[in-house]
Amino acid sequence: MAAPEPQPEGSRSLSALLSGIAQAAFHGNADITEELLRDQLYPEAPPEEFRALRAKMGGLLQSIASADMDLNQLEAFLTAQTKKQGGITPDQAAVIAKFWKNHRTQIHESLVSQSRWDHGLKNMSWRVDLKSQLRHIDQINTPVAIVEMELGKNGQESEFLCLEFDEAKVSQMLKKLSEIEESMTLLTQAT
Amino acid sequence: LFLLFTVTVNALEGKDCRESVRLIAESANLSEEQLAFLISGMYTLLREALRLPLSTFKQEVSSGSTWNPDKVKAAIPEDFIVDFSSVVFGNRRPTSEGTALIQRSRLPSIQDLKWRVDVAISTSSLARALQPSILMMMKLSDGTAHRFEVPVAKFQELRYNVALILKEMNDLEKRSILKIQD
Repeated sequence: MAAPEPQPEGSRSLSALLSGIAQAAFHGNADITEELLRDQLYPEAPPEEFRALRAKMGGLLQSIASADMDLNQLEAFLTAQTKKQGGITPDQAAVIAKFWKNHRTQIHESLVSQSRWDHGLKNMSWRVDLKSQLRHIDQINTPVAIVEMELGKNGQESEFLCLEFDEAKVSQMLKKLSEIEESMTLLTQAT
Repeated sequence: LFLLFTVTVNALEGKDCRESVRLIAESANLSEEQLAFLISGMYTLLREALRLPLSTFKQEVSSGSTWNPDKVKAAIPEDFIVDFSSVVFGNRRPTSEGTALIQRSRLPSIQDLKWRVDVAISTSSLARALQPSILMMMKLSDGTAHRFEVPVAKFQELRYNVALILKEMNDLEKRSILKIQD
């Protein structure tokens, strides 16, 4: 920021406002209402003025998040906004830029997960056992892998799958995963 | 008697013997109780024999066999011993052993794994998503099917872990510290 901040308080409030908006819009936090934000951050502002500010900031954040803007795009976008009639001030642009730099990954992740409706693989743990004795056969010495996979959806209880693999199956699995990896590499090269 | 024996061996090999047993019951002059007694006796005898590793056996098995003192009571005819021995020591043993291996207590394993790589171009929350994601459909040996999504980061973790498991299994076989020798 080239110019000295005329209102350090304003920047802090704006930053907090952006956080609040992000929480409500992207992370699904229903407790953060307009009322709450106004009371906490801009208590002296008249309601309509605050509403307008919130709407403007919300709209900007929405555009930025939806397009998942990188820094170049962001700079261009914000500069354009400062030049508009009824747009934002350079200081406000600076605050927004700083906010997006810090929260981009988090917000993006949140938005991506909003389009995931199937069970997802959350975690896996495993161990390798050596089977030495069984009821029917007295002596075998084969390694066997026990794998536990956690499958779950957002906000729901996970399902735990317990599976057994012998060496051949592990090998098969690895081969399949390699095929997937190859397929993905081709994809990312093409885009 | 020989028929019963055949049926028992078949049962140990995992084949369905209900039909054969029914036929025997009809043709022989045995009561149901006697039949059940005979079959279960033979089954247990053979199963115990197959249970112990081949190396512990001596080829000579007599009616008062040392490896099954309880069965001394059951008078096993001499010619029968030959048949018994052939199953325990002979060519058919691997089949019975194979079945025992399959039927043991175990967790479900993956029977089939199908996958698909999807790329979300646009969503209701993101105008430009371009996010690849892997969809997996796993069919397990217990008949259940599971469909789930694997994000790219988790996929790499999965692949790394599976490779590590294979390495561990190989190492374990090479080391064989716990090789229990007779």
